[in-house]
Amino acid sequence: MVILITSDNVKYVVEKDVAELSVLVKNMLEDIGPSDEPIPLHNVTSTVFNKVLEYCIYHRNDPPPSDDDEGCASPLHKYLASHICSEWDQRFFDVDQALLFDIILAANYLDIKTLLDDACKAVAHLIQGKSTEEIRGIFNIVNDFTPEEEARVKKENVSS
Amino acid sequence: MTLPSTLDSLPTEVLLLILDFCNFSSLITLAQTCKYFNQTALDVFYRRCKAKPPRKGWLGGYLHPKEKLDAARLSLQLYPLRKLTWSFNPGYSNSEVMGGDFCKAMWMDSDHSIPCLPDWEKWGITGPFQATLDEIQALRRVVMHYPPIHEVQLNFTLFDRWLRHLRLPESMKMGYGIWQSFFELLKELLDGGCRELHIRGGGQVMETLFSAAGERGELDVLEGLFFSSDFRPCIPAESKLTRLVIASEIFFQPPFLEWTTRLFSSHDTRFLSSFPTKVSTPFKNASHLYSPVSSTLTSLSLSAATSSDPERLLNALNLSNLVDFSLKLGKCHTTGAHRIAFEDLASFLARHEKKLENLTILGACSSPTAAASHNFRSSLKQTELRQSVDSREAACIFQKLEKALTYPLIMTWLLSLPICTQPSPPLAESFDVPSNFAHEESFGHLKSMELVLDLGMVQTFPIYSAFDEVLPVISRFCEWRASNSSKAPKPELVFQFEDESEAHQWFEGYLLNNPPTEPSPVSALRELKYISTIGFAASCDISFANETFAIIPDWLALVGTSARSGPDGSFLESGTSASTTLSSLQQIKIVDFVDFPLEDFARRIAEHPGLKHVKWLEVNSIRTIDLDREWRRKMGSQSDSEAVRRA
Repeated sequence: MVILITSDNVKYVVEKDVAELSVLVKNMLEDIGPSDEPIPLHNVTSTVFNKVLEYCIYHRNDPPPSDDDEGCASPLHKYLASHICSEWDQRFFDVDQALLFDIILAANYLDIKTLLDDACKAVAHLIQGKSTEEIRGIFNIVNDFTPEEEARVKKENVSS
Repeated sequence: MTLPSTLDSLPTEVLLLILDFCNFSSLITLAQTCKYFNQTALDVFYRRCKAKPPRKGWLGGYLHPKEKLDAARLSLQLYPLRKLTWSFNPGYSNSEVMGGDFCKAMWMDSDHSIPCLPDWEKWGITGPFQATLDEIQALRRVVMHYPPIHEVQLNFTLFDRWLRHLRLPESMKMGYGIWQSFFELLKELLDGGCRELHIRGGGQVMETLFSAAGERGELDVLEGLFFSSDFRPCIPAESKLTRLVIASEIFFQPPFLEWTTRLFSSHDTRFLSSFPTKVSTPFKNASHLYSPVSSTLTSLSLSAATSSDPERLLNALNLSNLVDFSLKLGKCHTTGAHRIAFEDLASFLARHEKKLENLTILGACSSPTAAASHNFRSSLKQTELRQSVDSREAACIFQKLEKALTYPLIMTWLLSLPICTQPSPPLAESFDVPSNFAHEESFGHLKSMELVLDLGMVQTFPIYSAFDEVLPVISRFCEWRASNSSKAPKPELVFQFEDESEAHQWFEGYLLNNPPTEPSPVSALRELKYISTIGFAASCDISFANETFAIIPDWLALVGTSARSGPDGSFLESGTSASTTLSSLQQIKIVDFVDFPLEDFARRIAEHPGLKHVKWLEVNSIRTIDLDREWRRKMGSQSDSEAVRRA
């Protein structure tokens, strides 16, 4: 068992194999050796960690991602893999956008590759099929094109 | 912890990961949201289809998803486009079908086979046509919004290959639509201020279209489509076009021949009346007969394997500022053996001689005749400043011409123009040029003459003796020019070779002719006193055997040595100081020979006693060897040191 403490001081007792899905935790455990010291997770709140834990428990028996993937996966392969998403995952990521972003940041911090990938896929899925305006709205993107630059897009949309 | 609700507030590596999972159309949409995504999303886009972003002003297309042009358009929101190179490739159309199909449908350019056929059921039989139509229209949208694009290259050769291999059942409407929108694209390009336009291929599309219509007996329907009033290949209102390269059959066959013809026409309306009356073309009623292209174009290159009515095109050409002209037309499409009448070519030359600097004529055309010379003269008279053609004063022609590349017979005709008034050369008489073109500035800048054999359709192997016929004219021409002005450049003479064995015999023929009988090719060669450079060019990846390269120095030693009228005329004797002063030969040029034995050849030239006056050897226009410095001095110092040792 591993004891983890989130940034809002909530204590979690997690089975070791689940906790070690996070490369960050795994490395820390290796560093400090067998000990009952709780591990602090400074950048993760309990709300987010609940979700992360849910994911890790569900996926605890998945084959670990091979190390090669990171370096060699071509953009094309990454893109092709983007459609492989289970029903459970779809339901899991059906959360509000702020939480989704927090999950991404947490996955990035905890270094959980599969969660990070899946969450990014979920964001990509959010974008798909949306119009420019919708995307700006959803993600609070500030339109910084000059009126002339903007006009070209507009004109184009009319003519095509 | 603050909540990142803005997408671009995520760490960059995470953001890129998200973009990696986005499909093409999402990337395109993202690119339209803000400047940051315009760059990052499109970079991901280009990386995925292994293309360079057109940010540097260059857009090229080869393998690409259909959204690529949209991507290009968006990147150009912020960056101007200077050059566009686009190869129409219907083989890869649906970007959402990636992976397996991506590779399947792509054309392998390295060999000439289709690796796998695309999934026709999914694609539909009109797939390639529709894909190309889409590409043309998308390209047009790019062109419309981002003018001016200065240099444009459009290539249909891949499309041609697809059609040739697949024998697609085409859709007539679709084929017609392709050309309709292609002309709209061309108009857009020209209106947008395009300066250089290259068009290649597309002939197969027309052939597929017409042959399929013919088989089904629907030729009328197709012609109806093309000649209907809806189909209007428009002529641009303004033009900045200076260079046009057309290497495509479609522009030399109806219905597009009219467009090509119209594009070049100036005020001249005569060509309109030459249209066949049964065909009512949309151009007949055209109110503006002046094409602005006719005054802006300075460089024109036309080449096609077949053409249907080259004379009409040639007669329509009236380009007031034409400097470079290249014509390479194969046999005539409709009449088979028919060639361009040389008379028409002569008239064309007369209309354009004043500004021409580079001239290439390798079209299938008939031999020069007396009528051609007559045409040349009368056409010259029609242009305003040539009132003197019939007067006693000498008229100046081809004042700016620097380089001429053509068949021996045409070269003979061309060079006889100024020298025909010289005492009775039999050749010039047969061309009948009664006017006096021997103005001292005629051909005053001619620096390079290149001879290519007219292989035509009859000959199966090259007959190099055709070169012999032009040599006397060249030597008399050079002599005439040298006598007029000592400042006139001594020109270079380049021979182009098509094969090895016949060429060897040709060289050998000169060397075996000993003692020479008059008149003989050898004497013509000996008369070439004013040639500064002699070049040998390989036309298509041929190589000469070492024996051939071995006898070339002997052949060269004969050039310009007529003073040595000794009965044996052997090159050894011509190597004496008396004769070397007569030959102007200074440089030897070797172009494009495969496996050229450079060291060996350079040594032979340098050591040859009859070629002491030759200073340079130029190879493939990139390397020039100073024979004195690199060879003769070395050899000299060797013999010196030997002499020292002996002493």
